[in-house]
Amino acid sequence: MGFVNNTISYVTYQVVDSDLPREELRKLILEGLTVGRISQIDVELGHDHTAGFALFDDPLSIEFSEEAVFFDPLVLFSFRMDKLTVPANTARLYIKRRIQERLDTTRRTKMPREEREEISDAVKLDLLRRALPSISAIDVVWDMNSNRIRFYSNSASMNEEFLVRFNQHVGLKLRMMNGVGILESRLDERELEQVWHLLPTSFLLGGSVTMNTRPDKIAEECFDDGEDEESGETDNV
Amino acid sequence: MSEITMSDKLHRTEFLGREFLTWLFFRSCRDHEEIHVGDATYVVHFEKTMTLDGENPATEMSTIKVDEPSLSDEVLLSLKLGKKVSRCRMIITVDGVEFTTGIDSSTLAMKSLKLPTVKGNEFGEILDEKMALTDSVEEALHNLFVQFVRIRIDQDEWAREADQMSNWIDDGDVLG
Repeated sequence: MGFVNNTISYVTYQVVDSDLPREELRKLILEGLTVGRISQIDVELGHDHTAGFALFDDPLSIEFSEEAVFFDPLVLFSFRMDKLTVPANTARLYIKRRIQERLDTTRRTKMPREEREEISDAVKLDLLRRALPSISAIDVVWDMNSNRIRFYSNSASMNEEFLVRFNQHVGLKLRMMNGVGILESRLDERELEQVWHLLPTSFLLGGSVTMNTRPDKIAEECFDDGEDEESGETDNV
Repeated sequence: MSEITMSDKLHRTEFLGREFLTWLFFRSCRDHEEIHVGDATYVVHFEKTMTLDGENPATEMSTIKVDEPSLSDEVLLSLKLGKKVSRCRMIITVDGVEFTTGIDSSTLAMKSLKLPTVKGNEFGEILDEKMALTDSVEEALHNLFVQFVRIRIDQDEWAREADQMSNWIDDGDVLG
């Protein structure tokens, strides 16, 4: 459900502390995307996946250029993750056959566990070399006017991987526009201070009650070692 | 005073998303779906599916599939049991344009947001139109959340609002 679809899922990020002039920003973005472009999966190094930037309209391409990326004030690219997998049943059959071949050639009926594991690893590596990666390409749209980036996936792992690569290669800090992000961008310091000290309200049994503690702390307090500690937190109901 | 870390901020406010969706559901039911934020008016209609969590979501979670959550006895019963809305689907109307979306209280991210069909033919036109539509619905959701939080941090206002919410839940007649 990417940007071009009528039904979309996305996470919004705000680029923070970036007051670069537009030309410098464009240069930084183009360099970052180029350096962080997706590369081949290095199976020999034991990797089974890779991630990086690719073109928006053709995620198989990594030839970044001004024309392919900038649609002022928008920046369009995709974040790609390639993953190699070998179905477990397939791997099991190949491993079984390789073990049998080794037993036959060495005229044995049993094999030490270490040797089995060694064969298993070699077979898996061999199968990974022959496998085609599954490719996931996520649309990314960056509005340079508002400095907001929309990442068109709600997957936590994809979002985490994107944040790592973005920070590593583009070098700008992103703030996720979740509850905290929205509040930090809209409330003043005094209001935020009040927010950090709110406690939940319960509407149970026909009355509104402020819970003295956060729900996850209840379990801890059941095993209190006896020290009576004041939280210092207050709420307003 | 030591600075609060991001993880601490997230931890301290993780209940706010559920309280926000519960409040929004209350306001939508009470105000015939019209919610005013400053000069703007948003029409918020909850539909199809609603998940309500107790204080321990792992053991107290109800996902209720019903066309009209506002008329559902199961939803009302869950609220009476102290559960709050953690996930829902809603139709938000902004400036006469309808958007259907799922909202998760933990991130407030839009899930399966259905945009109206765009009118442009050229890629640039489609791009601009889609961005403007997404901006408008996102802005509406953020405005609603900020309005809720401003009420929430105002001692007197939240006392009144919370009482009204409790009465609304209490007065609802399950199986009536």
